Amino acid sequence: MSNILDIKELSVAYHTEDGTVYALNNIDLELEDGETLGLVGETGAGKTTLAKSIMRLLPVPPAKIEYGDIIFSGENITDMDDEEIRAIRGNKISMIFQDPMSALNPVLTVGEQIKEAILAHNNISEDEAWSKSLEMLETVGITKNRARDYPHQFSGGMKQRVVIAMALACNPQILLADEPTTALDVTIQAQVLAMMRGLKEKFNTATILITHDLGIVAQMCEKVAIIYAGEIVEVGNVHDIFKNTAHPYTKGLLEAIPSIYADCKRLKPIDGLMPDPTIRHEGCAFSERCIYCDDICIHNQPPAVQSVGTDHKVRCWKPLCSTLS
Amino acid sequence: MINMFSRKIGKERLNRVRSPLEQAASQFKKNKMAVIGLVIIIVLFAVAFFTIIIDFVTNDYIYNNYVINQNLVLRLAPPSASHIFGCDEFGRDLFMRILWGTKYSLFIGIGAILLAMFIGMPIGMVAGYYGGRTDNVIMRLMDVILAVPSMLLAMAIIAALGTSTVNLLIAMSVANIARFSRIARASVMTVKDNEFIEAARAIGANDMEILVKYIFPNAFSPNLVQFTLGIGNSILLVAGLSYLGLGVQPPSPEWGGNPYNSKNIYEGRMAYFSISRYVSCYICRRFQYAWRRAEGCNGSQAEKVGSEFIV
Repeated sequence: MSNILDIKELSVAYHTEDGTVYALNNIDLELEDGETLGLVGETGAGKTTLAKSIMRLLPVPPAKIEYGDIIFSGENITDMDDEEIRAIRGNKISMIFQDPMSALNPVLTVGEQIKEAILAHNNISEDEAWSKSLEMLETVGITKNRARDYPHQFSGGMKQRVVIAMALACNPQILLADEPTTALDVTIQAQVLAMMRGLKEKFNTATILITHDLGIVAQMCEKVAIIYAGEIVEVGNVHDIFKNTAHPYTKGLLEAIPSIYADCKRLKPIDGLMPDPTIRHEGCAFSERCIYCDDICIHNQPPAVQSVGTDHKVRCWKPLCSTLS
Repeated sequence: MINMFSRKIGKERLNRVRSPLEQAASQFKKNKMAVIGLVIIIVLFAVAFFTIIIDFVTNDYIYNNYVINQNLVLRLAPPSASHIFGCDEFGRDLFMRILWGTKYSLFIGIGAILLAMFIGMPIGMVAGYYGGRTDNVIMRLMDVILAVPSMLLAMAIIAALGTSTVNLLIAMSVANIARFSRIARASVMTVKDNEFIEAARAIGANDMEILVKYIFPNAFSPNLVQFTLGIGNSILLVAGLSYLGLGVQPPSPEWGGNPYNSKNIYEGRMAYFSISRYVSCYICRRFQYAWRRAEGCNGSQAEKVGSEFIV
C-alpha cells in the first residue's frame, strides 16, 4: 500500500514574546491508505500542533513551520496557498475536535452545519446537500427528525456524532481525530469509538487518532506513534509497541496503566515533568526522567529513528529490546 | 380511565415543540413593562403611519390646512376643546404639529441608526476578525470620529453638506458609526476564538463565510442593544439639531423645531414639547429594558443597561 501522508522532518515553533517554543522537532511520520495511526503523548507533547500543522490550522503568527514537508498524495501541504489548502480541508482531510460542546455553531441547526460542510466542497443544490446531510446523520445514528434541532438540544455524545458526521460528510481520505472521546464519559466513549470503527471500515478512511489513552489505542489502531516533547520517540505496529516496547518512555506509559490483575496499591508514575519546550536540549529530551539515562544520553542527541524490528523504530541510545534488530 | 386520559394530554403537550418565535412571545408576555413599552411604541408607529396615509389620501389637504397653515386669529391660543394643546405664535394647532412631527423623529431616528449599524458593524467585524494592522488602521480612524462629540460632528457635516433631511440622516449616522464598529469589533473578538470557528475553518469555509454564517449571528446581540440605545439618542439628536435650525426645516413640524420656533414666547408651555420627547425616549428605554429582560438578564442587570441612556 502507498503512503497517503508523508511527514518529513517537520519542525514547528511558536515565536512568542517570552521566547520561542519548539513545539515539534524533526517529526517523521508515514500514514498508509486506510490505516489507523494512534498518536500518543502527554499534554503539551505536540499532538494537537501536529494535527493542526497537517490541516494548516496553526495560528500564524505566532506559529511557524520552520522546515520540513507534509506530503499529502504527492502534494506538499506546507507550500500550498490559502485557496489550495481550503480545497483540501474538510474535503480530503478533515478533523474531529476534542470538545464537541464547543465545536458546533450554537446558532445553526445540526443539519445546516453538515450541509455547510457538504456545500463548501460539492457543487450541488441546497436540497441535494440537505438530503445528503440527513443521510450522514442517519449514518452516525441520529434520526432524521432531529436535523432541525440546535446543538444545545443534544447531549455530549450526540454532539460528537454530529461532529463526526460533519467531518465525514465529504468522504475524506484522512481523518484527524483530536482526542475525540476525552470529553465524553466512558459508556458514551465506547459507543462513539465503536461507531468510528464501523465508519472507518465503511469509508476506508485513513485515521490519525490522537489520544493519551493507551486502551483506546489498543482497541482502535494498527500503528502507534509515541510523541514526547515534540519528538516521535517510538513508532511501530500496535503489537510491537505493547509487547516489544523499546523506548523507556513508552515503557513508563505502559507501566502507569493500572492493571486489574496485578495486586498493586499504587500507580507507577513517570517521575518528573516534560522539559521546558523553550529550551533546546543538548541530549535526549527524555534523559532527565529516564531511569536508564547515561552520560551519552545527557550530552548527545539520540540517533535519528533506528529500526529495532520490522516497521518498529525508536529514537533512543539504549532501546530496551535492541536485541531484536 | 381518567388517569389514562390526562396522561395522554400531558404527553401531547410534551411532544409539541414550540417554535423560537412562540418561545420569545411567551417570554415577552410575562414581562409587563415590556408589553407596555411595546404598546406605546406601536401607538407611536401607528400615529406616524396614519399621518403619512392621511397626507397621501387627502393629498396633503390636512397637512396644508391644519399643520402648517398659519392663522393669526388663533395666535398663542390657550388649550381648548378644539385645540387641546393650544396654538403656537403662528396660530398652528400644536397637537396636530406634534402628531405630524412623530414621523420625522421616529423615522429619522431609526433610519440614521440603521444606517450607522449597517456601515459600522461590518467595519468593526472586519477589524476584530483580522486584527493586527487592519484592526489598528480601522480603529484609529474610528477613534477620530469618536473624538468629536456626535452633536458637533453632525453639525459640522450638515454645515458642510447643507441642510436637508437626507444630509441630516447622513450626518447622524456618521456620528454613530464608530460606536457600532467598536462594539462589533469587541464582540467578534470574543467569538472568533471559539472552537467552532476553527471547526468551520477545518471544513473548508473561507473568511467571508465564517464572518457571515458563524461569527455574525453569535456576535450580533450587543449590537442590537446598542441599536435600541441608539434610537433614543438619535431622536434626541434630531430634535436637538432641529432646535438649532440644522435639522428638519420649518415649516415641517419636527419635535425639536416646535420649541425653537416658540422659544422666545413660550416659557411656561415648553413643557408640552419636552413631554412628548421625554415620553418617547422613556418608551425606548423601557423597550430596551424589556429587551434585556427577554434576553435573560435579571431585573437589576437590565435596569443597569437602561440607565446608561440618559433621558
